[in-house]
Amino acid sequence: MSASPSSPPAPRLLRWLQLGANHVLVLMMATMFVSFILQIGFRYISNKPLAWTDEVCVLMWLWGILWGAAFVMSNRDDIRFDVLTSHVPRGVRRALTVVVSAAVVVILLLSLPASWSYVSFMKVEDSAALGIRMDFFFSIYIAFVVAMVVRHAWLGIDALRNRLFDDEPAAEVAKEAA
Amino acid sequence: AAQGKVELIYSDTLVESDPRAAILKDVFAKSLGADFDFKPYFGATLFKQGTEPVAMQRGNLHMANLAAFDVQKQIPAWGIVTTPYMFRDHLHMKKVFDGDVGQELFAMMEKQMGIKVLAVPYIGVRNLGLKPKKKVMVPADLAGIKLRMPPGEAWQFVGTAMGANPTPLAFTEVYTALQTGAIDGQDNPMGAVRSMKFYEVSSQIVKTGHLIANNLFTISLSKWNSLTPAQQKTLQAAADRFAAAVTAQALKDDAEQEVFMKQQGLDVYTPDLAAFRQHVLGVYSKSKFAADWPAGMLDRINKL
Amino acid sequence: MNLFSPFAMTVYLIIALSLMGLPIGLSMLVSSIMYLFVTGQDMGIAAEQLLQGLNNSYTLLAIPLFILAAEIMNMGSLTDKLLGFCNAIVGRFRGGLGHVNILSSLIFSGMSGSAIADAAGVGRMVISMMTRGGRYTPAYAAAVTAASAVIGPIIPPSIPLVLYGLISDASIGFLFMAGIVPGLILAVVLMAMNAYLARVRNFPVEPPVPLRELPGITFRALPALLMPVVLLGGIYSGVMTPTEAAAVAALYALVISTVLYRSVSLRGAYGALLSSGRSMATIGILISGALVFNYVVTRENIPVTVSQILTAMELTPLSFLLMVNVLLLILGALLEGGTILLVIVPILIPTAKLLGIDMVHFGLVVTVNLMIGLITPPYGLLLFIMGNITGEPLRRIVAETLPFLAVMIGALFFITYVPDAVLWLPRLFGYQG
Ligand code: NA
Ligand code: NA
Repeated sequence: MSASPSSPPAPRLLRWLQLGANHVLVLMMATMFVSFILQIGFRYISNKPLAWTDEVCVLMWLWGILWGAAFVMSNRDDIRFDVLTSHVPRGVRRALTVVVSAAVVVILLLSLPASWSYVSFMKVEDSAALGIRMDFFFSIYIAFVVAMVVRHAWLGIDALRNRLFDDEPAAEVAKEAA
Repeated sequence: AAQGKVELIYSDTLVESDPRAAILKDVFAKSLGADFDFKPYFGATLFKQGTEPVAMQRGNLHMANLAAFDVQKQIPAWGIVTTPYMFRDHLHMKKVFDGDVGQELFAMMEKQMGIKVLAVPYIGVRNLGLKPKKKVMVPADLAGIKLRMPPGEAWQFVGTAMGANPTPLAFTEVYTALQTGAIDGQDNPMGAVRSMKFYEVSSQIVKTGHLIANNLFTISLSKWNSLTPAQQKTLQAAADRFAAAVTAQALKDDAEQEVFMKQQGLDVYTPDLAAFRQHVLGVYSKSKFAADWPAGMLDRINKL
Repeated sequence: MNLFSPFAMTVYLIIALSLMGLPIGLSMLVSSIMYLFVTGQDMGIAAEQLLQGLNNSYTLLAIPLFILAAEIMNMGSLTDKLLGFCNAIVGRFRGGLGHVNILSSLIFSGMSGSAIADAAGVGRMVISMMTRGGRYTPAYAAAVTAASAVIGPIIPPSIPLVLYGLISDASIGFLFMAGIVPGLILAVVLMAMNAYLARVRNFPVEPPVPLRELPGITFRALPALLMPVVLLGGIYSGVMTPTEAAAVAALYALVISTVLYRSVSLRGAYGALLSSGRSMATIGILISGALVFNYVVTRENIPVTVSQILTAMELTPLSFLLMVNVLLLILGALLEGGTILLVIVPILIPTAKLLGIDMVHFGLVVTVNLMIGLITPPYGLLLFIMGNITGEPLRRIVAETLPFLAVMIGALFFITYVPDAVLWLPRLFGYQG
C-alpha cells in the first residue's frame, strides 16, 4: 500500500504478491467473460444450453468481488465520504482513522467465529451444476474478513505513526500506471 | 417477542399479495391463538429462496415453506418425490405423504436436517405453456423446444426427461423471453401463468401435469421440542387447517384458470399422458437420481 | 419509531463510520454485524446474507461486463472515432464542443451502463478537446461532462435499471425500452442550455468539417454507432437476455477494436480486465454491505412500517411521486446512488404498487432521480470525478453545473407526471401497463 519500489526486500515481496493477486483477478474476469460468450454461443448456435456456465460466472463474480476487495483494491478505490474528513486538521483525521480502524478490527474479529461457523456449516450442500462443496465455494469470505482486519490494523497503526493512506498520491498513481 | 409468547419467525417466497399468503394469515395465524407471536416474512426478503433450510438448521429461522427440491440438495433420497409422474394426482400425493412412505421421508429430514414437516399442502399441477403452435402429444414432439426450467441441476433434468431442451432463466425474465422467442415455453401451475401474464405470450397449454406441486410446511426441530405438548397440538392443528385451505384453493384455481386460458384463446388440451409418464420414468430410472432412491420405495408409492 | 432502538443505533453507526471516512459498503457491513451482536442474533447471518445474496443475484453479473465493455472501448479507438463523428455533426454551431460533449455522451450511453465509466472515458477526452487553447474553462467543460454523463445509465444498457429490476420484479427488458425517451429528453434540455449559455457568453465556433468528409467520418464511426442497435436488437429479437447483452457488448467492442481498428494490445486487454475487476470489487462491496443491512431493515419490519405510515397519509399517486422526487433528490445529494437503490427504494415499492403506479414508470422516475443525484452537491460522485480529472476546485464546477441541474430537474418532473412519455415505447413492444 505505501511500499516504495526502492526499499527491498520485504516491500518487493509485497509487490510480487500484489502482482500475483492482480493476475488472479484478471483471470477471473476473463473466465467470466468467456463463459458468458460460450453460454450464448452454445444456446443459439448448437441449441444445446450449457449447464455449468451460469455457475462459473456466479462463482467468478462472488470470488472476484471478495478477492478484489481483499487483495487488489487500494484504499483509494473505495467509495467513501470525504466531505468531513477533508476539512478537518490532520491531527483530527489521524484520530478518526485510529478510531474507525479499531472499530472495524474489533467488530470483524468478533464476528469471525460465527462467520467461520456458517461457512463450514455449508458443507451440507453442493453447488448445483459443478457439485462444488458450498463451504469451499464460500471460503473466500473468511479470507476477505481476515484481509480487512489486517488492512485496517495496518491503517490504524500507520495513522498512529502519522501516515495516512492518501498521503502519497504521486507514488500511488505511478504504480497504477506501471 | 411479545411477553411470554412463543416467537415464530416464518419465511416464505410468496409475495404478500398472493392468495396463499392471505390464507396463511387468516387461517394459520388465527388458529394459533394467543400463545404465539407469529412473524411472517414474505417474498423471500428475509432469507433468499432455497437458503431457508440452512437458516432453520442454524437456529436463525423457525418456520418456512420449503420446496422438496431444496431438501433434495441435502438428502438426495428425497429426489424420489421431485420426480415427474411419481404421483398420479393430488390425492395420490396425499396418500403417499400421509402413509408410511411419508413418515420415512420425514424421519430422514428430522434426523439429518433437524427439520420437522408439519403439513404438505398441494399448490397446483405444473403444465407446459408453449409459444409455438405445434401440437405436442408425445415427448418426441418436444424435441428442440427451449423450455425454461428453474435453475438447479434437479430442475433442469425434469426438462431433459420431458424431451425438451431445458434452459435456466430467472422467473421474472420469463415473460420477456417468451415474447421475444428466447425461450419457447415454461412449466408452471395455471395460477402462476395467470398472475405472471404468460398467457399473453403463449399459444397453448399442454396439460402434461408432470409435477404435482407441493410445499413443505415446516418447523425446526429445536423450536418444536421447546414447545409444551399443548402448544405442539395447537400448532399441528393450525398447520393441518392451513394445508386443507391451501389445497382447496389450488384445486379451485386449477379449474378456474383453465376456463380463463380458453377464454383468452389459448389451445388447452391433454397430451398422451401414458406416453409421457412411461418415457419420463424410463429416463429417470436410468439416471443417477434413481440411484439415490430408497430401495423398494418406488413400488410402495406405485401400490398406493 | 424509537430513536434508541437497535435499528436506530445501526443507522447512526453507519452514518458515523461513513462520515469518519470508512468506505460506505464496509460501514454498512460492520454496523449490521453490531446489530446482530447487540440483538443477540447469530453474527454468521452477516456472512450468510452477503454470500447468498451475491450468489443469488444472477442479473447483477451485467455490472462487471458493462464496465468491461466501456474499458475496451476506451482502450480501442472506438471513442476517438465517435468524437470525430460528433464534431463533424454539431461542432459547427456556437458552443459546438459543448454539443459534441452531450451528443457523444448520448451515443456512448447506448453502449455503457455506468455514468462513472462514461465520465471517466469519453468525458475525459472531450474535456481535453474543450480546454485546449483555453477555449472553454475547465470548470465549464467539467460541468457539461458531468451533466451529460447522467444520461448514460438512463439510455439502455443500464446498471441502475438492472438493480431496480432485481428489487422490483419489473422486467429489465421493458425497463430498458422505457429509458430511451427520458434519455433523449435529458439530452435535448442539456443541449438547449448549452446553446443558450453559448450565446450569452459568446462561446467559440469550431471550423466546420467540410461536408464531403462527412461520409468518410461517418463510415469510420459506423461500428461504434451500430453498437446500440446491435445490443437492443439482440435483446428484443430474443437472441440474448439483458445480462448476456453486457457480455456481447464487451465482445463487440473487443472484435471491432482488434479487427477493424487494430488498437488492442495484450497489455491493453490485461489493463481493461484488471480495471473492470477493480470496479466490480468496488461496487460489489457496496452491494454486499447493502445486502447485509437489508436483512436488518427487513428483520425490523421497516418496509411494512413505512408503507403503513405512507398509507395512513392517504397520498394520491401524484403527491406520492412528488414526495419520492423530493426525498430522493435530498438523499441523492447525501448518499450514494447504489445504496439508495438497494436500501431506500425497496421501502417505497410496496406503497407505489398499492397506489397503482406502474413499476416500469416508477423505475425510470427513481433512476433519473438517482442519476441527477450524481451531480447534486454536496455528495455527487460525478462532481468528485470531474474535480479529480480537471484539478478544478469543486465549488467552481458546482457553480457551472447549476444551470444544467435546473433544466434536468425540470425534465425529471416532466418524466414523473407524464407517464405516457415513458411508457409508450415499451407498450409499442407489447408491455401491458
Ligand atoms: Na447506458
Ligand atoms: Na459528455
